[in-house]
Amino acid sequence: MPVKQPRLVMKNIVKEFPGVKALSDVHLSLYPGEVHALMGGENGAGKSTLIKVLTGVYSIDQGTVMMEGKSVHIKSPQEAQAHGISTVYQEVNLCPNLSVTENIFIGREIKKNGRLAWKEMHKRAKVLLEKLQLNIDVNKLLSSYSVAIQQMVAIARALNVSAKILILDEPTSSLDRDEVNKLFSVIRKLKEEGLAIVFVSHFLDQIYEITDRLTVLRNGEWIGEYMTEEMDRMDLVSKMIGKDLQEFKSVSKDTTNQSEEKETFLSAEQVGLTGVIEPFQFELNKGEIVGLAGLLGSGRTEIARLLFGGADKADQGMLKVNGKKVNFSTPRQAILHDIGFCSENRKTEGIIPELTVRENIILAIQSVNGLFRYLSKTKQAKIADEYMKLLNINPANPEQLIKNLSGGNQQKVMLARWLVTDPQLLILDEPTRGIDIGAKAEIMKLMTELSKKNKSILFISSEIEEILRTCHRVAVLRDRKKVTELENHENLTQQELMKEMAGGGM
Amino acid sequence: MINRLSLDYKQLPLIATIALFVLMFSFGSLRYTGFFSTQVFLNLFIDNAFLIVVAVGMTFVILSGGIDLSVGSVIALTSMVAASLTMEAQLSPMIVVPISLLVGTVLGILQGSLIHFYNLQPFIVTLAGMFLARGLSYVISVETISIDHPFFSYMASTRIPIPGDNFISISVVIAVIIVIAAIFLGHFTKFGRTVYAIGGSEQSAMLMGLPVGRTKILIYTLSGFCASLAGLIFTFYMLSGYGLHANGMELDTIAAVVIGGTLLTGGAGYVAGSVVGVLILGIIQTIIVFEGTLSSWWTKIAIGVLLFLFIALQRIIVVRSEKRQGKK
Amino acid sequence: MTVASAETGGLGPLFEAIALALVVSALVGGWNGLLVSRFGVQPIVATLILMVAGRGVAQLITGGQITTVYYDPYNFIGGGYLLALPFSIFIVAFVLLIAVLLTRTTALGLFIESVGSNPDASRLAGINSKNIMLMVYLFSGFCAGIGGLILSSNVMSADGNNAGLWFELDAILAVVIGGTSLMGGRFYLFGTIIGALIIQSLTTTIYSIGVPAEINLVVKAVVVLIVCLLQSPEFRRKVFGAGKLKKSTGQKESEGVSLS
Repeated sequence: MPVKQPRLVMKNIVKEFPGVKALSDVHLSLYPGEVHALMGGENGAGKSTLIKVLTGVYSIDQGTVMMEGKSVHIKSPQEAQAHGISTVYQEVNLCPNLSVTENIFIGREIKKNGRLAWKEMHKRAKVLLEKLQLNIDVNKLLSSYSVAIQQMVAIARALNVSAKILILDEPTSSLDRDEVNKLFSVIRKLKEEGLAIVFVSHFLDQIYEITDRLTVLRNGEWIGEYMTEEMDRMDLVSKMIGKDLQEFKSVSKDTTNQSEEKETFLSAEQVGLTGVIEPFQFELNKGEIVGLAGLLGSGRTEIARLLFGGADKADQGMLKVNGKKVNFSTPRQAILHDIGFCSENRKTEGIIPELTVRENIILAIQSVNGLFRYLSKTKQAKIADEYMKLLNINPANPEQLIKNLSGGNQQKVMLARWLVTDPQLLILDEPTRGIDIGAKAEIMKLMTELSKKNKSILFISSEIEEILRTCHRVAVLRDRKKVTELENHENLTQQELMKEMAGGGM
Repeated sequence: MINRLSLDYKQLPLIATIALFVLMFSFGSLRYTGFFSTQVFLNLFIDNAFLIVVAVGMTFVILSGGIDLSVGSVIALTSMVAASLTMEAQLSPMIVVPISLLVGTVLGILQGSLIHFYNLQPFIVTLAGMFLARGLSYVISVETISIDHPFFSYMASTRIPIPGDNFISISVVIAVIIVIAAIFLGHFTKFGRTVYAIGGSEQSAMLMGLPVGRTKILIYTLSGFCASLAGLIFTFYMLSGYGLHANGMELDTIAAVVIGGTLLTGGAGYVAGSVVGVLILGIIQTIIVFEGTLSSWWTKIAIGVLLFLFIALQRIIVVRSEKRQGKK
Repeated sequence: MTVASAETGGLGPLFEAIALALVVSALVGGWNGLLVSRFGVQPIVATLILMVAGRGVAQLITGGQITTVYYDPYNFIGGGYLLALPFSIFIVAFVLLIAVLLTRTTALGLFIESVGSNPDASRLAGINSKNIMLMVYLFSGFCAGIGGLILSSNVMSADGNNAGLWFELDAILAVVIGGTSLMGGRFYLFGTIIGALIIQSLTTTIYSIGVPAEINLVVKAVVVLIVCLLQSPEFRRKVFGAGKLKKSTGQKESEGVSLS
């Protein structure tokens, strides 16, 4: 393969956002006729930023982009398309209110005598879709078709511009097996025609099935470029999630209350949500830290949200708190049952940006208290002060707007918000993501202390090391299914855990 | 089969609108003598030609997911500009008409630019535009300016005969031309399809490489132009310029568009539907006139109730289709 | 909207009429809130319905005429004096007091700001965002009712055609000038009062220099646009960016000014 001239070479790409280095020194090379996987273990690994750079949504701060040997600067999606770079995004980025034909041709319509030639476009749309083994009525609205077909339409649109590079960003995340097979046969055909295809997916099986080479990113850094068939599954997983976290030596899980009588706080009996997570059995004891391990997209977050009740509502199974059946229809009800939930989306579902740190801290306890038992300003200040000290929140000014704090400190404020309510169960979805190592260690220590106080914690993290260090028990998820549960005894190794996460009979 | 149904589903408001129109016309015909005639039907167009024109512009705005509250005031401002240029500056209609048409067009460009470049909400920008235009008409004159000019009288009083002893006005011809042009614009040009795409999903439209910004500015420009043209037609109709003309017309216009089946969230609807929407507003008025004992405010109440019913219908459709999407 | 036609007699009818008017206006606001919070209708559209139909109902009640109130005590609301101060000032102070009490001694203020700033996060923190929105619209309707009472008492009549015409922009303008962002998140009650005073001063000034009062509309429109632009991050970035380039020349100019 390397004999051919590469279609695209990206070198030393750097992209910074205020406060975050999204890409530091990242490389990517693509050859005609290859399917190239872009891998990263967590959100923020840099995959989507790299794709957005390539498609002109973001501009790069440093680095070079060469297409077929020539240096190019891609400044807008239009320019990317002019260079033959087409993208099919994870969420189908088409207009559901337009017809299939329109979605394929909009922006580069065929005109005859000054008006749009619909007949001609319908005909060509049909031909394009037949190439993708799809025979549908192109005159109908896109929204009347399934997501799988919409995906194919998106690919047809991408191919309509004599594409040289096709980027498929998690195209299979909402397809069933048959649909995936169909998509793969299309991908193989396109590959034979000499297209360079970038394939992003969280499903390892699919990566091994369809891709030729892969590039691994982690925390915005380039880890390496490998031939897929030469890459061992375990190696790949360990490269994706990394394991260089020596700083956590100081954190150690508390094994003392392992021996005590276990008292179940929350149990989920065959709770599931069609199309989101398969029904699962799950118990959480008092004083226990349970980890949810699994790759991104494996269903970790979905489980957490279902357990918090109202965040997303399960359509089957039964949830019990302290042995009593509960039915949460709003987050508020879960909170009143002593459950707290830190979302992984700190920005959109965590902080209230326009409010101060103090107000953010007391928000949950105040909503538990209700409208009328309003905490006095002095009481609020006292609480804020106490928890800011406890969690070492910087700067130590409670009247600062939370949006001006660093990610790590915002995360600590989120923790403080729930600690104030003294929850029996705290669900933490990726609380350590995107924050500095010191803050990570502090958060993990705090978890251990809480468990000593007989509180339960459900801990989701992409970092296996963190899970092994803190959790008593680990539930492993793969492909939206709980596959197993492991006791975290002294001999549980990263290898064992990773093996379960990776699956595929290694 | 299911797909077929879902297509019809989106057209439900339009079908409901047409059915409602037929129902109301039959109701009027049965109840009042002299109601069932071609001329009564044509009068709907004659009396509402200006509303048809504004509604056409507004349709594009709402299709794109925006709103334009300035149209009523632009009608007033245009009538003021036309009246004062004709009567006080004694200019020929050859000059007055183009200048009047520029009034709304320029305001539309300004509004569109503010909305696009500074990412301001359409409602606040056009609300300010509404006050600006209304205020500017008062700057020209606080009093009514009556127009006494052969051109305007000709435009106002000419009756174009139609077979069967009926007639229409020049304004109706203008409105029909605008409607046909708008249907062409909406369905057979890139601009039109981009409007629908923006209304469907602005982010998708952007990622698909469509000229979102330019189109948005053009949409408000088009709406401004239509409002000005409607202002001229209104001036022919009233033969005067007055700062209080077309007071509250923006609401009637939006009501007509919504009743005509255009989704307020954007992305679905038809120019032709808005015309039917205007006709429904017209027929409410006609019925009230025929009834004699009913007062004009019933028009407002009826429009409000219809507006509510159609918005409720739209919500049901949107929620249903979201559920359907969710299941897949 | 305010209707208070009363017969002569004791003060009973006055209070009945006032109470009725306020209840109706709060209900009307609640209707808007219901549409916004429960049915997910966009606020502009939801309130638009009553902007059309509400005036129609008002005209229906008054028969399209200006209904004059022949009942002197009614005049006290908007035209009376208490302790040498116009009574309406006391009303304003009272409403402001209620608002301050509601928002600052209960958690309502915090919740409103929280929902306005980030509705999803607020829901996950346990706030019932829907009820908060409902309450806000209800209160807005109630306040509009009080405004209507003052207005109609001032002129001793109920005018379904023109009462409160174009007050929407004035109200928004007052709030925006007061520092509350159109994007939601933070509100300043006293800022709004100052905003309202500024608008009235504008009106009075224009009156006193003899320009037609209607020209006010132009000034207000321009002010609202300027305030909105100042709140727009895009605008600030562009102006700030351009400011960087022009800074050197700008500084020289200002130096020149200070020297002379």
